[in-house]
Order: sequence, then structure tokens, then C-alpha cells
Amino acid sequence: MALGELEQLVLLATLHLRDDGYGVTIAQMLREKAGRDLSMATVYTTLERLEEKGFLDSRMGEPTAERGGRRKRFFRVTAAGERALRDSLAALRALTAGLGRKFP
Amino acid sequence: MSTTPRPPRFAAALLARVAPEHWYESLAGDLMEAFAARHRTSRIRAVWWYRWQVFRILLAAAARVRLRRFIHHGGLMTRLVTDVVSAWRALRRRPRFALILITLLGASLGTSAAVLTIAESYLWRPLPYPAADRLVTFPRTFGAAQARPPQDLSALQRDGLLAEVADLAPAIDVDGFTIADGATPTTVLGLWTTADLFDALGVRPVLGRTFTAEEVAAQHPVALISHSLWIERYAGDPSVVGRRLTLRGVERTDVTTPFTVIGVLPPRFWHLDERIAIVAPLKEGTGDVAFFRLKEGTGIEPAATRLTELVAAMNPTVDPGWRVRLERLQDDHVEPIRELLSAVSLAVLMLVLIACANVAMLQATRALGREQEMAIRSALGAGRARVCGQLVAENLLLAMASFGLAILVARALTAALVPAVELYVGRTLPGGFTTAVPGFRVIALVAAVSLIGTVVFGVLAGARVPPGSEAWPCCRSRPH
Repeated sequence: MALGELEQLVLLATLHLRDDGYGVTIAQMLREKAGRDLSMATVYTTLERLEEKGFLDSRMGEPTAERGGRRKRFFRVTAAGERALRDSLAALRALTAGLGRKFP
Repeated sequence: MSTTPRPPRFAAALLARVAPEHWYESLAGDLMEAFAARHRTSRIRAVWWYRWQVFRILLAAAARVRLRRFIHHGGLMTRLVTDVVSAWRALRRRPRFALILITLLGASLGTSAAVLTIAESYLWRPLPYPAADRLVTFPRTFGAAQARPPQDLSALQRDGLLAEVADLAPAIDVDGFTIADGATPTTVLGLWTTADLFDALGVRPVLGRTFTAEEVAAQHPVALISHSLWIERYAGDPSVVGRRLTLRGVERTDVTTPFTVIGVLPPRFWHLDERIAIVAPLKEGTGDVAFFRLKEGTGIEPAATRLTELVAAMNPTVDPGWRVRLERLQDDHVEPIRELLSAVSLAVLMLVLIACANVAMLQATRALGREQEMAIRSALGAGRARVCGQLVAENLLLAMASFGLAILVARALTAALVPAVELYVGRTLPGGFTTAVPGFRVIALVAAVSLIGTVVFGVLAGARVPPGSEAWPCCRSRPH
């Protein structure tokens, strides 16, 4: 199953974050590393889609006071997700190879 | 220890309604966490950020509903939601157009609304007293021109004539007061007045009591202080009642004994000025009767007739054509500036018309640039209603944004303008300048013009049939 650009970014961010990937940290990483200031609605829509495709799974954390007693939903990339990401990046690399110095 | 900041209430409640159930807990938690982080740098930005996030979630939820309904059954609701979502996208594609239109409409409507609010507050708002309709005075120009008959209300009062038509006739003298009570002496505005002023205006103190006729007659040094003076100088301390303070009138310098505070006036006590901070008893027979309250059931004309008869009976030399003239205190207050304010209001309405014309031009220009898009839509089978619906939805979003901006501008400008206007026209705003906020009439006007400028113009301009197209008869085009 092909990955959209946002899906790639979210999967990569989740991989980076290992066990600490949830809405706020994922959005923060996308902002800091990828320069993409996404609304929480966009982040969640993408996360939901990825979970439906089986590329992510999630578990609920513990409630904390600073979140008004609400729990975090932590995301983890599944094996299928890693495979899809690898395929998608390989396709990108194959296509950018040979374009010279513009796309190193 | 710092407490967790609370996100804006309405947005938070909206979030609970629109967020998908499965995601609500983590989504609301994430938003709150990010909100708290932003709150540390800027509270206002954090609040608007939160609202924006909820708005985006609303759009996403709408898209979700649209998809589900579309699969099951396409109803009116589906179409509405579809239209709003695609309207949002259409505006996002041309943000410059949307921004120019919203700024143009919002700024011009907001400015107009501010001016109209001020004019309305002056011209139509009753004075803030229970019996405002019964408060009557001599017209300012009346009496001065008369050599013999009573030149002012005090003369009628002295002759005992006023009591025939009036039940209360307070005398007032506005003065500056220097307060010296240990802290830094300050000079504030105040009134020397008789005890019946409070009854005439229907004012009850929030603390303590008002002074009595006996206290006025016996020259007791008692005083009431305004609510704001109480809060600012005495930090709202209830024990201020009974405290002694040395007051000296700026004009009436004859009294300097320590006054005893006997009460605190209600917030926004306004007698022709909001800054009145001290009210003290007037020395018997030294002030002028400022206005009087008509007896219950007495009309203003019958009262004038009765007074004319009484004065004529007392002064045989009075010219037989002479008549007492009375006017409501309200009219007395705003009459000199009525023409000015009416003219400014008219000018501002013209400004609104000009803004409308500009918006119409903008819409027409935009429609020209979108003919292709519309042609494609109709070629793909969008009927007349669909295309019009889409335009209505787009323009409704513009209308809401313009309306919101206009109200914000109006509120800010009103607050900024009123003190300058008061100074310029030489009259205080009835009820005090802090009470001037856009009223129902002004808001309705702003809403109506926002809708005309966007929905009516937008649909008329956008829904023309492209040349040669029969598929899309939303509005018949003129032959080219």
C-alpha cells in the first residue's frame, strides 16, 4: 500500500520518538525537523489513517494533571509500517538517483 | 505552585461535541498540554491557537460526516457540509481575495459601527435613571432672553410655584474637591446637592446611606463617595463608612471641616458625568435647581401650561404671549449636538455604501477569474442549485469573518473614540463612556451589510452562465 507524503513524515517522526510518540511530540518533531506546522486535526487524521492501514498501533498511557486528567495515546510503528516506509523511501531514492547534484 | 491554565471554554465545549469519540480523550489532552506550553509565552496567542485547532477539528469532523453520509444517502445536510468544506478550500486557494474582502468589509463596517454606536448612545439611549422620562428642565436658551419672568428654575422654586407640578426639584452645584486624608491629596470632581437628588434619580447607595433633608438643613459634614473611588483609594474596604476625611471644595472654599463618609454610591453612578467621585450636602439656598421630576401622571405640556398660568397670575406685567417652555433632561443634554451626530451618522452610512460598491467590484473581478472553474463544475454535472449553494457557502464564511472583524473593530474603536468625542462635543455620554458598546440596531446593520456584501453580491456576480453554456442556468446571462 502506497504512502502519502504526510504519512511518510508522521511515520518517520514516530520512529524517531520510539516510545514517546503521541500527538504533541509528533507535531513538535514535524515542526522542528521538517518545518511543517500542522494542526492537531491534520496530525490526528493522518495517525488515524495509518492505524487503519495497520502501519501504526497505539496504547493508552497514564492520566496526568497537566492534561486535565486525560491519558496520552502512544503510537508505535508496526512491522508492516516499517516495510511500507522502506518501500516508499526506496522508490523515492530510485527516482531521485541520476538527477545529479540537485537531489543528492 | 502554578495551576494548569484553562483553555477557552466555548472551544473546549465544542471540541467535546465534535471530536470523534474514539479520539477525544487523547486529542483533548494533547491540545491542553500544547495549550499550557504556549500559555507560558503568550496567553492571548495560546487562546487563539486553541480556538483555531478546534476549528480545524470541526472541519475534519465535517469532512468525515460528509464522507459517511455520501456513502449512505446524500441529503440536504450532506450538501451543506460538503459546500462548507469545499468553500473553505476554495478560499484557502485564494487567500488574498478573502483577506482583502474581509479587511475591507470588516474595517469599514467596524469603523461605521463605532461611530453609529456613539451617535445612538447619545441620541436614543435614555438617561440611566428609573424615571428618566419625568425629569424636566428649562431649555438652555430659555430664560436668559427673558428680562422679567423667572429666568431659572430656582426662581420658580423660591416663589413656591414649582411644587405645583414637581414632586422633587434637587439643586446641584458641580465642584472640584480636594481630598486630604493622610494619603497623597487628590482633586476629584464632585457635587454639592440636596437630599432629594437621590430620590429623583432613583439612586441607592451600595453601602451605607444617603443624607437626609435634616442633615442638609443643619449643614452636617457628611459625604458619599463613588464606587470607583471606594475601590481605588480604599481598596473596597467596607469600614470606609464612618471614616473622616478632610474635603475642600475648589470653588466653595468655605467648608473645610472633616467630612464623615456615610455611604458608597453604586457603580456607574452618573449625573451628567461619570467622574463624579464625591457627593456632599449643599448649603441651603446656595445652589441652582438643575431639573425637576414631574409629578406622577403629569405631562410635560400640561406642566408648562400650568406654570405659565401661575407665573402670569403672580406677575401682572408679563407679556400675554409669553409661555414657559420645558424640555426633557435627556433632550437638554443632547439637543445641541443632535444635528452634528445625525450628519456624521449619515456620512458614515455613505461610507458603508462606498464599501459595498468596492466589495461588489471585488466580487465581480473574482467571478471573472473563476469562469473556467464554474464551467468545469457545470460540465461535470453540477446543477444550478449546486453551483449557487457552493457560492452561498463560500460567501457565508466571508460574511462571518467580516462580521466578526467588524464587531471587534467597533468595540475597540468605540472605547478609544468616546473620550475624545465627549471632549469635542462638550457633553458626556448618557450613562458614562464605559457603557458604550454596539447595540442591537448597530449589530443588525453590520450583519445585514456583511451579508449583502458577500452573499448577495458574490452569488449575483459568480453565478453568471458562461457564454454558450446551457447546462447552468443559475441566472440568465446577458447576450454577449
